[in-house]
Amino acid sequence: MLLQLEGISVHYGAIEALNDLSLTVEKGEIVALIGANGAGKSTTLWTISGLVRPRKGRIIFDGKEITRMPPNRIVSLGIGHVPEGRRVFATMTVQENLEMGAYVTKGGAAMREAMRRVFNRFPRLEERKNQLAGTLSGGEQQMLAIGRALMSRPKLLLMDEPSMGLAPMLVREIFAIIKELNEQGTTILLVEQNAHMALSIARRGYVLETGSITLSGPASELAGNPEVRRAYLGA
Amino acid sequence: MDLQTLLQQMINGITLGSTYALIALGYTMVYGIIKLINFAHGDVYMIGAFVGLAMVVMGANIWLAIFVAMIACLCVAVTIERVAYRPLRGSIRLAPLISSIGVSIFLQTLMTLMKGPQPVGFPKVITNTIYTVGLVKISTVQIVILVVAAVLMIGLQLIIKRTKMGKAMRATSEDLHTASLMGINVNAVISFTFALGAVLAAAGGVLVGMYFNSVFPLMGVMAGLKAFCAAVVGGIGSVPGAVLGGLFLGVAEVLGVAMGLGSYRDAIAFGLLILVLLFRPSGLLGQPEQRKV
Repeated sequence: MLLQLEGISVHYGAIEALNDLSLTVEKGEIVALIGANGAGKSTTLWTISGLVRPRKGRIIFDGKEITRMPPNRIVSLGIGHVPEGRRVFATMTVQENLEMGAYVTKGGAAMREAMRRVFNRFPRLEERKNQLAGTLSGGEQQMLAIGRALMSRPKLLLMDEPSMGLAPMLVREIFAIIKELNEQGTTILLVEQNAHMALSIARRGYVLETGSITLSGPASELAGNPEVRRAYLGA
Repeated sequence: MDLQTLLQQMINGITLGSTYALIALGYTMVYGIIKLINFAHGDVYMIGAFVGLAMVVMGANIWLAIFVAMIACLCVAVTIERVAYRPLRGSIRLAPLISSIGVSIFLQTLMTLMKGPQPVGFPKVITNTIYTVGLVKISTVQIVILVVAAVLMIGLQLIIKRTKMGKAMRATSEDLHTASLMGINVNAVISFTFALGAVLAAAGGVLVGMYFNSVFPLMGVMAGLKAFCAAVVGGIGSVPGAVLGGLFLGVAEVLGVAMGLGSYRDAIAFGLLILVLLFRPSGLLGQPEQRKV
């Protein structure tokens, strides 16, 4: 088991954002976490990355407990994060953005190697490497956000709404990239409002409702579940 | 005012303005990263002046005095951040602001107790020759100030643009949460930012102490306020803005005095602040603040 959340509860002040949440991600899987706006999907990812401290519960990654570690240590253990809304550093160049993704990487050679791999996958980023990230199109920014997270060579990639705000054609492209990354060995925990797309590439899925997991199972089963179809697939 | 006077006052104004800029950079960098107006920053500058003075009294030359003052202020500023601001991270924005006012009062009182309230003169550390270049006169002290300020600002620019830590500073100031998701140790970046600001302010303190031949515990109050104005006029959060704002205020102040507004000397900076903010609320080079959702 690569990632395990056990009974995680998170509070923002008096508001309970996650309540006794447990989930697991096996090595090599794509796991989809679907749910409505405000269900706690992003909070779950922030908690794994250490931006938010849980009040209760444990998080175990690759055999180590990471529950109270600072975010920078969690990144160096091998968790990459593609934040919601892309969040590229708009006033920095594409290349500088990628360098920030490799912040925990020791040594220039390893970083150049990581950058070469990212440029191979996203040639458009190489063409624009000296351009400010804020001037990229939405799709390019999403690629940059993914490339930036890949710079630390993560074992597990957390992706928060990678399809948000993109045209349907680009959404398909991004999902193809996610699938390809997974086939090449990156485990992915995918948060999506686009449940249909997410379940189509995931192996397993969890449905999150107001801070609790209400359904889980193989992605194909969830996609066929009448409850899920009514609530999230618009069927 | 004839051309000669104008040029002469420009030189004097740029000299004064570059010391404002050295202090203003600390305000603007810290604000850029943690959105805190660090009111204790002017007092770090004052401590720099006292440390530099102590070194000169012990027989050090001006370069060594500046260097030791920089190291001392670096330690002071990093300690202040650690003790007075870091524990308040994540609380409302007003809390560290109030804490910084407390630190400011503490440092002023401490130095007044230790050194007395009276201004202390600065021993002659460099022979002050006055050179005539074309129409204007420029003194050795002014040259030292201009050179030190220029070297430090270029150095700062190189650090911010080229080094890993400098890039991390820019990333953190743009988006602190995302920066930490990248594995950037945000606390280290914040400490580093305070250290950089303090180093610049320390140099400013020693230079001003030498220029005006006067060092006293409350010297950081007015200088700090004016430098803060300079940072806001230039656009708080903007590094080039702080330099521009500092020079602008220095020149305006000196020209104002030369035009007979000497008794309004200190009012000029604040008047300009109001004027600039009326027309450009985010300062000369500042970006309008975007509300994050």
